[in-house]
Amino acid sequence: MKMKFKIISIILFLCLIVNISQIPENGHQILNHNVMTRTFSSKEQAINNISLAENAIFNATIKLQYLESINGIITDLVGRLNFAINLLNNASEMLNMSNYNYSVYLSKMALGNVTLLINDINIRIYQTNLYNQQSISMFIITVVIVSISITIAGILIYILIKKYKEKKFLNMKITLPEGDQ
Amino acid sequence: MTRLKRENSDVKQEKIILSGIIIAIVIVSSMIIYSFFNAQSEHFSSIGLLDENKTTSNYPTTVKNNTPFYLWVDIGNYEGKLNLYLVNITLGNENTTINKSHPSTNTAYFIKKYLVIVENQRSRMIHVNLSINMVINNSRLIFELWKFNSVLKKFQYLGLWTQIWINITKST
Repeated sequence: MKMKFKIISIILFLCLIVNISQIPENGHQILNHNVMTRTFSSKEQAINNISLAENAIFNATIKLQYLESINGIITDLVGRLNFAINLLNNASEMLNMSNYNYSVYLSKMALGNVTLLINDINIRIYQTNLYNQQSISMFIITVVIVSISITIAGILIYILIKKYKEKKFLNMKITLPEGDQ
Repeated sequence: MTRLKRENSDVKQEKIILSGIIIAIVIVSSMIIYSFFNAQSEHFSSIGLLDENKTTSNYPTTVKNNTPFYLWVDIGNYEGKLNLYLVNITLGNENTTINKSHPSTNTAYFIKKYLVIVENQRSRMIHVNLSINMVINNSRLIFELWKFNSVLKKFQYLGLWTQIWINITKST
């Protein structure tokens, strides 16, 4: 009897543990038979993808503005962003015309293009920063070298002039006034 | 003795002239440097509307509903940096309110929007394909220019807009 009771209590305990493990952190119990598998309609997919592509375009614009501010080359990247924007404009147009599948296709293409573009902008920003740092270093080195050269040249010219004057002074003929002769 | 005095006065005059020239050079050069570093060019954006043939002489006055017609919109960026613009196209009438501070959003029908990226000191033309599914006389086809604010991360109305008056008739 005792043994049966123990087995039942162990089974109950295990059931409780299994049940608890299915409760997620927010305290709502997930019941498999109640889970609603919701599939997005083409229209919703198109709207979502257009929104994602728009946000990606905003990020790309901000990054391009930064790249431009640090004197990076942006022309080719702007061309690519323009291409993605045209895709997005067409996707919005298809959405308005209720051509949802084509809108999804175009918005996904726009998103893919902008995602790749953002990576390339990041690389360009890194390269530009590196180039700018090197340029600053080169400028400082050049200034130091030029300053030292000018100083040395100045000292040498001063010494040469001094020597020349000394030589000239030594070669001078001393002519005394007539009364002193 | 008088010769020596004259020479001294000449030297003094030369010194005064020389110091005057130096002062003038310093003042002029400092003014040039100041104007060079503080030169602020005017920053602005622009929007322009052209007909299908990219001219300003043949705007459509009457179109049929649900029938496509085309226009060109020219956007200029002279803001000193690359900018992302939004061209908002709305359809209003004589009661629609639009001015420099208020867009037509609340008093007009939204038709379409276009995003446009424009480099600094450049302009870009977009081909606008429109088809309106309502019948309305004396309507205003309004094109508003909005600019993306990278700090607020949203578009802001620039107070720039253009329009054409148009009759939309029923297609047979």
